Amino acid sequence: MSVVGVGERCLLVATTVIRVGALDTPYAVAVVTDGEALRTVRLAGDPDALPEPGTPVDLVAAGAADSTYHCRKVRQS
Amino acid sequence: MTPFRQQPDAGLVDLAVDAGRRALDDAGLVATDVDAIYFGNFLGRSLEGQGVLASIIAARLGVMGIAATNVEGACGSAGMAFRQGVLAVRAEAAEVCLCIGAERMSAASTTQITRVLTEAGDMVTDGAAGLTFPGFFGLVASAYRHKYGLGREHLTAVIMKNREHAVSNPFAIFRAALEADAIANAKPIADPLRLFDCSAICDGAAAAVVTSRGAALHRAGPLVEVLAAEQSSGPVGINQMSTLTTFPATVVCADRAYRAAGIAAADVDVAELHDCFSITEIVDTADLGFFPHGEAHEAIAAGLTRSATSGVVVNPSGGLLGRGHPVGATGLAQIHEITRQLRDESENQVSGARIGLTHNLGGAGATATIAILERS
Repeated sequence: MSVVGVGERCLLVATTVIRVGALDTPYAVAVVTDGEALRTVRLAGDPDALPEPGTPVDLVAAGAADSTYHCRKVRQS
Repeated sequence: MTPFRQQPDAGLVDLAVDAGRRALDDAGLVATDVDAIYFGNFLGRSLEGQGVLASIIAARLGVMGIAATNVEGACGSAGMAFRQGVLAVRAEAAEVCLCIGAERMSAASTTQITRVLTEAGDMVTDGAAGLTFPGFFGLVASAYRHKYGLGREHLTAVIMKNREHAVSNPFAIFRAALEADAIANAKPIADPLRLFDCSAICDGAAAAVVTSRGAALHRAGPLVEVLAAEQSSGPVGINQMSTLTTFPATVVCADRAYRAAGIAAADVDVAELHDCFSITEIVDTADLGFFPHGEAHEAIAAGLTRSATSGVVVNPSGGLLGRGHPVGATGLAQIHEITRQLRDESENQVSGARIGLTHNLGGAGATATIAILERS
């Protein structure tokens, strides 16, 4: 099974904002797919401004040291 | 079973022994009649720092020298303990098995509970991304909404039904119905799930005695026969899944259980299924074959699984959302309710119920057990 990687074009499958139980600050977690595999990623940025599931996105690492990503909506030409 | 409550001063072993004694009394047996104990529990080692709980419980019940076994499958632990008892009797390795599930949660903080429940998922992948258990089911609801058009009203319908069913259940933690506005405006937990979409952290225990037909015949009351007790594993991490809108362990287990029992989904009169979150009942209802995938949310909102419906009644006890979810006890609380249904003893009795089903899920679908019981 392939692993959805950084810098790849993905499709957003699902999103949630975790508001209680883990950290004091809400944060977003998403599931993305490259068409084959699913992968869970934590998203950087405003958790209340997430693209809708079904949106094509690019995953960009938010920092070198952790597993947090920017999820950038693909511009439609 | 014991009532499910927030009772932080009750000990885990005390709860388990209480439930075990109640089950033995109901069966007209005493502890020394028991050949084997199977004990379902998830958090005892993490929160209490205590292992070998089954042996401790056996000693407290006054039976030494019997087989006493711990069974762990996260929130599915008690369903697995029940199945182990059934297998032992079928294999003639034991004649009388006492199956107990218990959990003590409310003494821990919400943060602590969130952390230990996450251990039922894949800590390397999903855990590293900060995914909590409510977060996982929030993702399931998000994916389902995108795929099938789920709205707040569908999740609310599950909660209102189960809370209404729980009103008459003396074992349930919640004995008051909820209005739709209160549900929709409750504190957000993991979008789109809010407080009442989530089952309650609480304490309690449940137990069942499983015997051979011969050993059961002395009992004066009606008997309940186990037609099937099946178990399946499923993916643990999201990266092992192909979709978020079905739990393959349930689908495989249901197919196996219906074949073992010689029935179809349409033959089930009453079901206690694993509604740890409102969205989970919607997915389970389809996975068990009660409605086609993509239609369960509309069927539930239309009242097709409510008490007094002509179809299958789902979670007449109030389910996990209404009765409470002390995680390692839940599978046997389901057996308790279905047994009472098939003996015409439930406060929320399904008229003429002949066949009942229990469905207990562990982790993010890492394990599923299904039992099918029949009025004997």
